[in-house]
Order: sequence, then structure tokens, then C-alpha cells
Amino acid sequence: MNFWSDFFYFFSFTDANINNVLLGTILLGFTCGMVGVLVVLNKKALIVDAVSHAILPGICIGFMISGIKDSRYLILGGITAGAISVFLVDWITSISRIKKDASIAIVLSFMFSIGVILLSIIQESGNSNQSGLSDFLFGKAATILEEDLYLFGLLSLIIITVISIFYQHFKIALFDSNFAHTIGLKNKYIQILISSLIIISTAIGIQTVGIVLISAMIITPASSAFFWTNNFKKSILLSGLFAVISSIVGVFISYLSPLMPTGPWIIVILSSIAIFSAVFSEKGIVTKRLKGRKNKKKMISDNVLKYLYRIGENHNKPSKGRSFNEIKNFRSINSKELSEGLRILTSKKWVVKAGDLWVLSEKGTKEAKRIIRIHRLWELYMQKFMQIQSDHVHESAETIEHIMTPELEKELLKYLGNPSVDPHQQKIPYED
Amino acid sequence: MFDFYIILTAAVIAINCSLLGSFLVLKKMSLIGDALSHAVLPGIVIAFLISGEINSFWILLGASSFGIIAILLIDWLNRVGGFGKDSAIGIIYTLLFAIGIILITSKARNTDIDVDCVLFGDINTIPLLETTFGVPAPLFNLIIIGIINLLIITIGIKGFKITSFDSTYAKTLGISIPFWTYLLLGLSSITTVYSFDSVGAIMVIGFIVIPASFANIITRKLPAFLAIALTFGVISSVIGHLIAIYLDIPTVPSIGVLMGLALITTLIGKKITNKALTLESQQND
Repeated sequence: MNFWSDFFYFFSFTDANINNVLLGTILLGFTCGMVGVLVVLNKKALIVDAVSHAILPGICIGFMISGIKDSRYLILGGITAGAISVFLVDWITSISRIKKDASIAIVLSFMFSIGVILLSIIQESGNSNQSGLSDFLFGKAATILEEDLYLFGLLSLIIITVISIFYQHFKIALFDSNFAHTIGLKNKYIQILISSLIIISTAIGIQTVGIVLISAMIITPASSAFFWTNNFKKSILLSGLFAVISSIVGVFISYLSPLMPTGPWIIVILSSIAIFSAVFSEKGIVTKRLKGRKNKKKMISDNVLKYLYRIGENHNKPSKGRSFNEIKNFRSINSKELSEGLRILTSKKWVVKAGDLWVLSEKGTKEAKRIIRIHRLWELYMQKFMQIQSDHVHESAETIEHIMTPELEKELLKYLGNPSVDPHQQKIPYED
Repeated sequence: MFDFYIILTAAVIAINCSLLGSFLVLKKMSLIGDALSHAVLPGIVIAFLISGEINSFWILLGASSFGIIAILLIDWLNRVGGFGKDSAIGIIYTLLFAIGIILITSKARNTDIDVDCVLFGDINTIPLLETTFGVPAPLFNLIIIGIINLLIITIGIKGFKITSFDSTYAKTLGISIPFWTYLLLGLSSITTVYSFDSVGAIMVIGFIVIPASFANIITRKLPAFLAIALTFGVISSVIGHLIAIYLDIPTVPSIGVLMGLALITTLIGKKITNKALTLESQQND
């Protein structure tokens, strides 16, 4: 079978086994992704680790009580043990000087140790049902059965319903704790609710990716989503979507090659999405760098334009050409930046080269006047309205002249009433 | 001799881990230790696939490079990428661990490395392995690393101390905080790698954090802190293994549960005596 026939068979959704696995992982992925947004915003990312490792003894006890591998008992045991671990982490930090991260590490290894001991006792008891219990360590997406789906579906539905009902409460509590306090929203209850969501989603999520990797299933998609949106609702949906996409790809990869484990592949895809987001999204590294470079170019060309105008202003001959060295010596600007600025200005036709001399064009003069006007207006505003000494206003004006919009400029003029000179008694240039 | 070697191995691991763990806990970097123990896995597997040996210099090299890669990636995601510190740790260690598991299940089937060994370690096989100078090779390596750790920490005790307790003061003295932090993380990743096949990737964090946290609730003076952490680790290893023999359960988790219980009972005991003390002083008033 080649890749495409596998591909079409997989996505034709005709194989009931594949459909069960897909539906299960999609449900669990979406749930974990949604809860992840609450977790990351609430800075609880690392508690997931304590909860997930603590679930192992819970599952073992669930199995020992029921004697069979019934998902209901296992998940109930897991949820109980998860709740105990959250309590233990808080208790240890509240009564001693042990820090949160150490407390998490203590509970994690303590509970996991109990789990390993129970696991070895179960294995020695020779109960034939026990085979596959250790699948919980790395997930067992491929063995999701139809009856598991009902249970996952129910629990996912509960989580999704809780998030939609308490959506506003979460939003207020996570984004504006002061406001939450004034309207009497009890932070304690919100925290308990979020912890419960973490415990339940972790307990069901380990079915697909396992105990060690479940924390990534919860925090990685949420961390990626925040790169694309600031909106709470959108980030919840996007985080869910990232987790769903990764789950589908992970299941497909292990379908193509049965040696490939599903859970770890889901995590690799999720992390790739996270790194892609960090690099290429609108808030990502590349955009930031490009913006930074663009701004720097604009500042250089603005400055060169300004110098040309001011040399003319000083000599009362604005339209006369100036040599490279004359501009260079006006302010300490290095040759490389000056050539770069002049190149940008010529390409915009704001400056024209005549022989060895550089002359401001009509358009260039207009732009230079605008920059200097903003600079001087701002200096005046700072002095008049913020009571800042006239010898301290220049620095701030140097920055503001590059970023002020025409609307703000109008407002400024209105406030100041079309003044004629700045604090240094220099004339403010208006358009003719 | 069999049980003696197991106890000795556990005790040497406890000494190594609680020594470094003390500084990690003081620097509030406990979970970096956890992240490292998971992140080195692909390095171990790749080195194993290339060299074909489980106890080789290549394993150390591979694992250490992945330890460094993990620390750099976490730092990069945090500083440049804009992820929160917690999230950056969580994303990177799970990614590297996932890659390690993929490599094991797809490329290293039916070899000495398997998934269970990675998680739980296999301390019971230590006495059966080939020996170097009369001691089992992994134990020999652990002892060498223990000597290196002790030497470096003794020589650099001032630097470790000042950067752990008072980083602002260290800065004003012109002491390089990154240098001492990376030295500590470097030693930690080497120690983790060599503790890996005995105690596994998860329970090694118990050896790192629990003894140091136990010392932390008792004292804030460094010499006493280190002495308590080391003693606690060694005693737990000995008793833990004896309990394991008596109850016929695995050694390493038995030590883990014992350490956890000892810490929790101490906390409860402290709480009760504190209450009794405050009651007494109220009655005296």
C-alpha cells in the first residue's frame, strides 16, 4: 500500500476501529486544549505534572478494587488521587517554607513511587486482566474502545459545559482580579473549579498520551494559541483546535507505521506548532525583528531629512544643496547611516541629488516641516502641561516625532492654540 | 554482596542527588532537575544507537549535549519566544522526552534500552553487571561522579553559596550568576544521566528534591543543610531497600515512598508541636 491509498482509507472514515480512535483522541485533545488556556493564564502549568504522576496509584487502586480493567473505576481512582496530589502540594507550601516547585516535585515522585509499587504488586498477583495497565504511562490511543468513548464523551461534555457556563467568571477572575474582588467573585471557588477541571481532563487525557506527556497536551496548545490572539474565547477554541490537529496527525502517523507510538508523536506535532507560532506568528520573533528593522530605517531617514531642513533653516537658505560632509558634521551621524538615509530619501523623491550636493524636494520639505513641527509642538506640550524643564524635553520629542499620527497632531495643535515658537524660541514650521 | 551493592548504589545516587539538589532547591530550580532528567533521553538513545554500548563515554556525551540543548531551548523560548518560564520548561522537556520514546520504540527495539527501564530504572541488575576494579561498572561510574561533584562543590562552595542564598548581593560583588548556575546544571545533568539506568527518569527527581526539602524545613545554615540532606538520603536508601526486601516490592519506589512519608510526617509533627507551643504560651500569659 502506498501513502495515498493509506491516506484516503484513513480519512474516508469507513473503518470503525480507526473512527473510534480518532473520535476519542479528538474529544480528549479538544478538552485538554480548552482547559490548557485556563491553566496557563492561571500560571498553574507545572501542577499538571504533579496531578498526572499521582494518577498512577489511583488507577492501580481502581483496578485492585474492581479487579477488572473498567475505565470507570480507573478514572474514578485517578481523579481521587489527582485531587489528593493538588491538596498535598498546597498543604506542603502552606505549612512550611518549601517552595511551590519543590513541593510539586516531592508530591510527583512520592505518588509515582506508590504507583510503581502497586503496579508491581498487581503484576505479581497474576491477574490476567492486568496486562496493558502500564499502557497508561505512554497512552494507548490505539486501543480506545466504543464503551470508552461514552465515558470520555460524557466527561468532555461536562468540562466543555462548565467552561461555557462559567466563561464570564473565568474571564473576570483571570484577567481582572481586582474587579473580581469588588464584585464579590470568590477567587477560592474559581481556583477549586480550575483545579477540578485540570484533574478531570488529566485523568481522561492520559488515555491518549500517557502520564509523562499529558502536561504537554494541556499547556503546549494553549501557549501556542496566545501567539495568535488576545481574545479569551478565540484562544480557547484555537488551543482546542491545535490539540485536535496534532491528535489526528499523531494517530495517522502511527496508523501508517505501527512501530510509531501515537502519544509521543502527538506531542512532537504540538511542540512544532508551538515553535512555529513563536517564530512566525504576528507576535512572533520574525515579525518583531522585521518591524524593528523597518522602524530603525524610518528613524534614520527621518533624521537625515530633518538635518537637511535644519541646516537650511540655520542659513536661511532652505532650497540650497548640501554636501555629504556638511550633513554629516551637522550632527554626529555615521557615514553608513547617512548614506542609507539618503538612499531611502532619494528613492522616495524627497531628496534630489544635484552633482555632489543633496537638495530637498518640495515633497521632502513638506515632510521635514511636519517632523520638526511635531518635535517642537511636543516640546512645548511637555513644558506647558507636564511642567518639565525646557532642557529636558528634547529626548522625548526625538522619539515621538517618528510615531505621532496626524490625528494626534491636530489634537496637540488644538490644545496649544497654534503657537509660533517652541520652548527654545525656535520657529514652528507650518505648511504654507 | 548482592544487597550490599544495591544499597551502595542507591546511597551513592542519594549522596550525588541530594548534594546538587540542595543547591537546586535553594535556587528555586527544582523542576529544572526534573526537566533535565527527561530531556537527556534522546541523547542517550542516539548515542546508544551509534555506539551500541549502554555504558560508554558516548552516552555521557550524547546525554550532556541534550541537557545543554534543553537548557538553551528553555531559555530561548522564555526570553526571545515570549513563553512563560513554566510553560517553556513544560514544552521543551516533553518534546525531547517524546522524541526519545519515539526513537526507542521505532529504532531501538529488542535492545538493552526499553521504555520500562527508562521510567523505573533497574537497580536490581546492577550487581550482575560486569565490573571495573571489582565493583559493578555503573556503581564505579557513580562513585567517580560523586568524587567529581564533591571536589567541585568543595572548591566552589563560596560561589555556590552566595549565588544560591543572595543573588542580588552576588551581583554587587561581581560574581557571575550564569557561571555558577550553568556549572550546577551541568553537574546535575551528568549525575542524572548516570543515575538514570538505576532509578529511572521520574524517581530521580525524588532523590534530588526530597532530601533537600527535608533539610530546608529544619535549617537555613548551609553546612547543616547539606549534612542533613545527605544523611537523610543515605538513611532512606538503606532502610528503603530493607523494607523492599521485607515486603517483596521494588527498591527504588520503596525509597521514594519512605522519603515522602518521612517528610510529610515531619511536617505534621512540626505543625503539632508548633500548636502545642502556642497553646502553652497562651496559657502562660
